[in-house]
Amino acid sequence: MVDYFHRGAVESTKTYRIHTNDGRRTMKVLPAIAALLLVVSCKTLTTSECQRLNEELNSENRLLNRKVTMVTRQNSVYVEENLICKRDLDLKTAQHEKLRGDMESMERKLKGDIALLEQKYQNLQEKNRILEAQSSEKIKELTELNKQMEKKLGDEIAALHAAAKKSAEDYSREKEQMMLQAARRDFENSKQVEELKKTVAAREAEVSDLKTAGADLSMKLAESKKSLDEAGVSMKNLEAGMARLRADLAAMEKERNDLRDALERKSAPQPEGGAKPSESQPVK
Amino acid sequence: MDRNIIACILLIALAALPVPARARESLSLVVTANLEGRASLGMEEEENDFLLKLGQSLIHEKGRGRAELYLDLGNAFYPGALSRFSFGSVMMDFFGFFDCAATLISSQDMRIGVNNLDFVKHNRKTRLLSANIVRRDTPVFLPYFIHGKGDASIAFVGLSSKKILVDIAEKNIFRFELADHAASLKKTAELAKNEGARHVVVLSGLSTKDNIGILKEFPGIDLVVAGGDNSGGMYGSGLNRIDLERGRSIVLLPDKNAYYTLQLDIGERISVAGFQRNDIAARRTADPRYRGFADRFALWKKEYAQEGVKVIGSAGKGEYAIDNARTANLLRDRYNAEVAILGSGTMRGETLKGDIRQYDINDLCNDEYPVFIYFLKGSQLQSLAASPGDLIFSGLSGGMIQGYAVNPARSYRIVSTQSVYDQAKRKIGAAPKFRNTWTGIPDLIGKDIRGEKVLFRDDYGYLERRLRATLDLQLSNFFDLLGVVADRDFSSPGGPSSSYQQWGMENNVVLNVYNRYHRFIINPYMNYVQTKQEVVDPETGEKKTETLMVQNLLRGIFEYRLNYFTYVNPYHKSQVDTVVKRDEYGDRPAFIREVVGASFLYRELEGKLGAGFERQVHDPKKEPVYGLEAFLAWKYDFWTKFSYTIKLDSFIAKTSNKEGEGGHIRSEITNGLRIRMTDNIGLSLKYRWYYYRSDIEDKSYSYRQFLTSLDLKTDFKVY
Repeated sequence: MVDYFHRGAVESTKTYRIHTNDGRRTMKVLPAIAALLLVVSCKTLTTSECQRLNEELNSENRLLNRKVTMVTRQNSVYVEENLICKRDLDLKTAQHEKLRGDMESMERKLKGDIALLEQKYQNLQEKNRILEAQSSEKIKELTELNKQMEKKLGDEIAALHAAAKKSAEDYSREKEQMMLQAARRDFENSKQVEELKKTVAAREAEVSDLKTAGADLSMKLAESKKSLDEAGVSMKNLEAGMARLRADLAAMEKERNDLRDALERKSAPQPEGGAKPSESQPVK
Repeated sequence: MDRNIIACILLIALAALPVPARARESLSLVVTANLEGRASLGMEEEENDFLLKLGQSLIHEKGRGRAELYLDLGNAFYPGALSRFSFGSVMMDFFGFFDCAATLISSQDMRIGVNNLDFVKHNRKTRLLSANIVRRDTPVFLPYFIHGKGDASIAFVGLSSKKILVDIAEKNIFRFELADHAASLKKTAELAKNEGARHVVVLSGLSTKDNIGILKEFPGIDLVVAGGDNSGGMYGSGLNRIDLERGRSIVLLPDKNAYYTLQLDIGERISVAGFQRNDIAARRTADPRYRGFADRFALWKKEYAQEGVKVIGSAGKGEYAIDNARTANLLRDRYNAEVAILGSGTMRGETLKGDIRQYDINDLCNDEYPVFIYFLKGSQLQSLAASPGDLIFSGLSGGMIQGYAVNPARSYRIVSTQSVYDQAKRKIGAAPKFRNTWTGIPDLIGKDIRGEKVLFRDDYGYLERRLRATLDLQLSNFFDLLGVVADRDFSSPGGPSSSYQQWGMENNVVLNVYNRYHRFIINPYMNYVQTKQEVVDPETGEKKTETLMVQNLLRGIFEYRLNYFTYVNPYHKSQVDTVVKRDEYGDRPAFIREVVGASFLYRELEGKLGAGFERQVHDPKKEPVYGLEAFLAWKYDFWTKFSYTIKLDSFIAKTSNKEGEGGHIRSEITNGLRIRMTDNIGLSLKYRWYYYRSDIEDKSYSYRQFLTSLDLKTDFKVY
C-alpha cells in the first residue's frame, strides 16, 4: 500500500517538475490560453446577444409591419371620408350660392310685383268707388220695379182664386146629378135580375125532368145493347158454323174435282210409247 | 359657560337627528359580449347586417330609456374579417358611434395586438379595460372607470381571463404579461375608492369559479358581470345568473347573438333589479349616430373590397375546402415537420375555387400567431395527444408517426402556431426551445397559392414517404491502469501482485434511414477489451508483458425492412463478424451471415425469425452452414429514468458437408439495466451470456460477462 501511494506521489512530483523546469514556456502558454478563453467566451456572448437582438428586431419588424398596415388602411378610409365630406361641402356651398341668387332674383321680382299690385289695387279701388255709385242707382230702380211686379202678381193671384172657386161649385153640382141617375139605373137592374132568377128556376125544373127521362132511356138502351150483344154472339157463332161449313164444302168440292179428274184420265185412250206407268202414275 | 352648555345641547340635538337615508338610484345598462367583429363583407341591406342591426337595437333601447350606459364584455374585435382587416378600427368606430363606455380586453381581442389596440383607442370615447394585463406591474390598459348617477358613483373594473395570450413579438419587445387577477383587483379597487367610487362592479372574462372566488374574497363587491371568455357554460348548459347571499350576483352573457339589459338598484349596496336577454332585430332609424356609423362602415367595406379584389392565384378547375387537415399538411410540407398541431377552430373550412382573390384568403383562418418549430420527446407528444382539449394532430395517427410507433425517448419535429405552442407548454409542463418563423398561417397560405399550391393537392402521402434518418451512438469505454512496484515474491496481502493495464470499449452505432415503407439500418458494432499484464518469469525473474484480448469483435450489419404491414414485415439482413485485431495466430477470421425472414414489432417487443446461411469466409475459409436466425428484444422503461432490456440473438444451423455432418448453435443473451443520469449520459449494468457449439468438431464454447459502464448515448435525427 505504501509503495502504491508512493509511486503516485513520485509521478505527480515528476509532473510538477516538468512544469517548473519549463517555466518560461508555461508563462508564454498561460496568457495565450487565457486570451483564447476570453475570445471564446466573448464570441459566445456575442452570439447569444446577436440572437437576442435578432429576435427583438424580428419582433419589432412584425409589430411595425402590422402597425403600418393598420395605419395605411385607416388613412385610406379617412382620406376617402374626407373626400366625401369635401364633396358634400362643395355641393352644399354651390347649393347655397344658387339659393342666394334665386332668393335675390325672387326678391327683385317680388318688389316689381308689389308695385304692380299696388297700382292694380288703386285702380280697383277707383273702380269700386264708381261701381258703388252706379249700383245705388240701379238698386233704387230695381226696388221700384220689384214693387210693381209684386202688385201685379197679387192681382193675378186674386183672379185665379175666384176662377177656382167657380169651377169647384160647377163640379159638385154635376156630381150630384150623376149620382141620382146612377141610383135610378140600379133599381131597374135589380128588378130585371129578380125576373131572370125566376126563369132560371123554371128551366132548372125542366132540366131535372129531362134528366130523369134520360136515365130511363139509358137503362132501356143498356138492355137493348145487351140484347144486341147476345145477338152478336149468336151471329158470330153462326158465322163460325158457316165458315166451317164453307170449309167442308170447299174440301168436298176439291175432293169431287179430284175424283172427276181421275175419272177423266181413266176414260181417255193411252198414246204409243207413252210413258211407263211408273213414270206417269202419281204415287199416293 | 352658558355658551358651552348651549353648544353641547345643540350638538346632542344634531346627533339625535335621524341620518337621512342615502337616496336610492337605479341604473340601466345594455351589455354585449363576443361580438367577434361579425360584420358582413358585402353591401347588403342594412336590415341584414349583424352589426348594423345591433346598432339599430341600441338606438331603440336608448330611445326607450333602457341604455343609460353601454358596456361590452370582450372578444369584440376578433375574428371577424373586416375587424381583422381594420385591426379593430371598425369595432372601435361601432363603439364610438353607439356610445359604448368601455370594452373588456379578452383573449380573442389580443390577437389584434396590444400595440394596435393601443393605437386605435386614441381620441376615442370608448375605454379598453383590463386591470391584469401589465407591463412591469403597471396595467397596460385602463384598469377601471367611474360612472356617476345622482349620488352614486360606481367603479367598473375590468379583469381579463387567463386565456389571454400575448403575441411573441409584443412579449419580446414590451414584456407584457398577465398578472394575478385577485392582486390586480385589490389594487384597482383601492385606487377607485380613493378616487371617490362608492361601489365596485367587476367586468370579468374569468371562469365562473374564479368569479365566485372574487365575491368570496372581496365582500365589498356585490356584482360581477361575466362575459367574453366566460360564455356561461357549466356542465354543458348555459348559465345567465348566479345569486349569492345578501343580493350579490354574477350575471353572465351566454348568447353572443343577443344583447342584455341590466337594471341595477343602487343604494347602500348594488343589487340586480332586472336582467333580460333581448333579440337583435332590425329597427329602422334616422338617428345621426347610426347614419354616421353606417357611412363609415360602408367605407371600410369598400376599402376591404378594393384591397381584396386582387387575384393572387387560381385553384384551377377544382374546389378545395381549406380545412385544418389541409393546412396542417401545408405546415408539414413547408417546415419539414413530422407532426403539425392545430387548434380545432383554426381554419374555417371555406372553399376555394377558380380565381382566388385576397379577400378569399383573408377569412380562412382564425389564428394569425406566428408559426413555431420545436422538438418534443415522444413521451411529451403522447401525453399532449392524450390530454383533453381541442388540438388536432396531423402526422400522428394511432400512436404512429410515418408508420412507426412513437418512441417516447426520441425527439420529433413539431410545427404549430404560437397559441398551440403555449397550450402544449402548459399541458406538458415544459417549455421546449422553439424557432420562430415569423410567418403566420394566412401569409403561408397566400405564398402557397401564389407558388406551389400544396394546399390544392389531392394526396399528401409524399409527406409520409419523406426520407428521414436517425443516428444512435452508444459509446461505453473504460480504462484501468495498475502499476505495482514490489520486490520479488513480495506483495501486500489482498493487493495485486503485478501491474496491468486494461482498457476496453463497446461501441454501437445505429444509422436508420427510413420512410413510411422502407427502412435501412447500418449498424457497426465493436466490442474490444484488452489486458496487458506484467508477468515475471519464475526461473529468470525477468519481467515481460503479456497481451490478452478479452473481447475482440468487430461487427457490421446492414438490414432492410419493409414497413408495409402493421405488425409483421419481411426483412433482409447481412452481417459480417470479424476481429478488431488479429488473433494470437495472426489470423483475422471473418464470418458472414445472410438471412431473410419476417420481423415482428409490437410496442416495445421486437422479434425476428429468418432463414439463411452463415459462413466463415476468411482464416480459414469454410463451407456455408444453413440455419435459422432468431432474434427477440424487449425494452421496459420504468421509474422515469430506468430501463431494462433483454435481447436474445441466436443462429441454429444443421448441415452436412465434406467436413462432417452436424450443425452448430451460436447464441447470445444480454440483460441490461440502464439508469439515465442526463439525457445523454447513463450508467449501464449488463450481463451477457454467449454460447457456441459445433457438432462437427464436437466442441463447445461459452462465456459470461458482467459489465458496468458509463455510457454516452445520443440520438440524432436528420430531417
